[in-house]
Amino acid sequence: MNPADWIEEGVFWVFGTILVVSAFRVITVRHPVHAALFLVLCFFNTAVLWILAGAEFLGIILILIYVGAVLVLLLFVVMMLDVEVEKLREGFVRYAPLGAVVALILILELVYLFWAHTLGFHGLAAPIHVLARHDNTRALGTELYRRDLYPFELAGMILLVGLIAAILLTLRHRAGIQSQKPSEQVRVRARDRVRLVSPKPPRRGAST
Amino acid sequence: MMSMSAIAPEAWVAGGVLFVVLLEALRPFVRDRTLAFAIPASTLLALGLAAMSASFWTAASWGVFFDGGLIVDPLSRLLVVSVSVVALLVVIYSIGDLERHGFGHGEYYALLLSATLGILAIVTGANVLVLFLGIELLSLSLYALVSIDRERVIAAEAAMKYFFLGAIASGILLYGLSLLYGLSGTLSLAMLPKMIAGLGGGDRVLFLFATAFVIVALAFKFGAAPFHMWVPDVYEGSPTPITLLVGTIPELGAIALIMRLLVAGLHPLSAQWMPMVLGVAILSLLVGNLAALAQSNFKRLLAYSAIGHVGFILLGIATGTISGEIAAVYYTIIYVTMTLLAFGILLVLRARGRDVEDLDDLAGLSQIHPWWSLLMLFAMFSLAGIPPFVGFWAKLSILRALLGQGEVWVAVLAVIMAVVGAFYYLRVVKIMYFDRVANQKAMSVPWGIPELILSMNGLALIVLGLVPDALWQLCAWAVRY
Repeated sequence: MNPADWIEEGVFWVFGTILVVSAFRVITVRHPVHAALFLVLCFFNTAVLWILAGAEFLGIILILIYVGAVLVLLLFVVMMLDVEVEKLREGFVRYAPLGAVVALILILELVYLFWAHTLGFHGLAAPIHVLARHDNTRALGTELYRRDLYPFELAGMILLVGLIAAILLTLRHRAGIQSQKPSEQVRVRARDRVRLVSPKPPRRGAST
Repeated sequence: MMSMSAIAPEAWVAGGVLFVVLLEALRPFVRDRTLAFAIPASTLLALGLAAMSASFWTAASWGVFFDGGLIVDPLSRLLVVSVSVVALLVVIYSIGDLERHGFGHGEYYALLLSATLGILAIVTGANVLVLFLGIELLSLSLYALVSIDRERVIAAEAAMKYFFLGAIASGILLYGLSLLYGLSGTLSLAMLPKMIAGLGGGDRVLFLFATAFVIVALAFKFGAAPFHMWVPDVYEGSPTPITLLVGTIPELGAIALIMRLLVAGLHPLSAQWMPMVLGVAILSLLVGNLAALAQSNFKRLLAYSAIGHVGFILLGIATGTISGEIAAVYYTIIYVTMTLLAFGILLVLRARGRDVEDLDDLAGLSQIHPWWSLLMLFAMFSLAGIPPFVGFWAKLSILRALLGQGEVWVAVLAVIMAVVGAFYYLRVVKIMYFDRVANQKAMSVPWGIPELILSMNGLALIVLGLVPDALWQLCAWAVRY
């Protein structure tokens, strides 16, 4: 083994261990916010492993979308909803057998996969080590913006339609709602809000 | 620069969507009357330019563009022009009604344009991915449009049903398409037949499996039985301008989808899919025409009649012959013209204070609105297939294609169902002309451009019926290429 492989091996074991531990913590910690934060750690380590495997675009996307958007949203929901932790744990015993069955099926599938692999099943070849210069992001970009430009633009229109439809279905202009109007706030002038008056001293004897 | 002229219709319509959204964003700063003019005007302009740029295509423009994403051929030229013109008419007929009922904001126009864009993408799609994206663009726009009147419970119900069933159908279609891709390794509709033809035995079974999924999804999008459940609810639940839209342009998209995906793409499997399409067609004929007999709501009646007509169109496809395919395209274009007229008249009557929901609302119409009753009579006679109206030639061409294949019994069944259909169309005419009601109030509204164009649409049914050959030749040229 040359030194580069040693480093790669080391990175894999470090991040893999953290990944497994944090994944385990996601389901064992008591507080849902902590669980969500462990999930962030989980995703982060997965991203590193993916980058290690040569799928750097997937790794970046995982951090940008799952950590950056989805989990932040999840955290907000958890904080806003004030989830009752005790209630969530009530059904543990009841659902444990079902969970065990699912886990068993998953383990059997994994075992079967490895077993099939040793039999010479090459449908799932190990990822080949590609050149360091190979660039997933560039390749995807070329595909999307050059070869598949037309479908890509159509997909963009679909997103726009989703936006219009959501606004159409939910936006209501109700009178009397206290809401900010950013354009008015930006355009405001000092003289609109502040009135300079020269205070006159009260006439003696008029007050009180 | 060839690819610029090839994508021009889609580009105009997409530009229209963006421009309408921009105009709508100006609403706080511009007077409402300015927008009420500018938004429909830019919509009409975008659709008109799309139709124009497609009609300028000549034999020199034929080809495949955008790395096999977009095809320009006579079929796409015929259908792009028809779709744009029909969308143009839909807007013209609906403007007044939308303004009166407060749906005249930019959303309607933006979504109408995006639905049209979806259909244009299907019509000119040369690649399975583009077809699917076109279907989704069309469907998502329609779901939103159906629920545009969100205060009405019945509209919300229709939209929910449409959305859920449509989502399932899209999933089924996607599954079928992914199987096709997995088996053939190509997304291109030009390559697909070659890949299928080169395969034997076991993979053919899987191909058949994929084809069945595709046919189920196509039948759903076309509104053919037994996947027709959404049609009556959507027709009844949507506001009439939306029904006019849902009942017309998507039919053109559906026939384009069938021509591109089934007839061209899965051609080597035609011996296998023909019986499936035939089954769906016969079931649609039976369900559409027999269930229409029991309807008292006029829009539901037209919905079931739509299912029956889809049955006729699919019969043409099920023959698997060129003449049957020409007949199917011909029938679809004529059917859309007739539907435009029927719903257009409902909108004109609404503007004159007569909101037709039930059949009984049509009673005594001939006394107050003789002209509109006459045009409705044209539409009904034409839908029933009575000469000299053009609907007769549409039915005849399908029957001729069936007899050419020796399918006598199917042809006999189709004729029987056409006679059953004639019964309920004639019942509408009878209610308009012979049923009397007391206290009728006439409301005279001056004619505008929509009324004029609608009248021309009605007269076109007779003119096309007297000179049926020109449109037939056009369809034949488009399909034969």
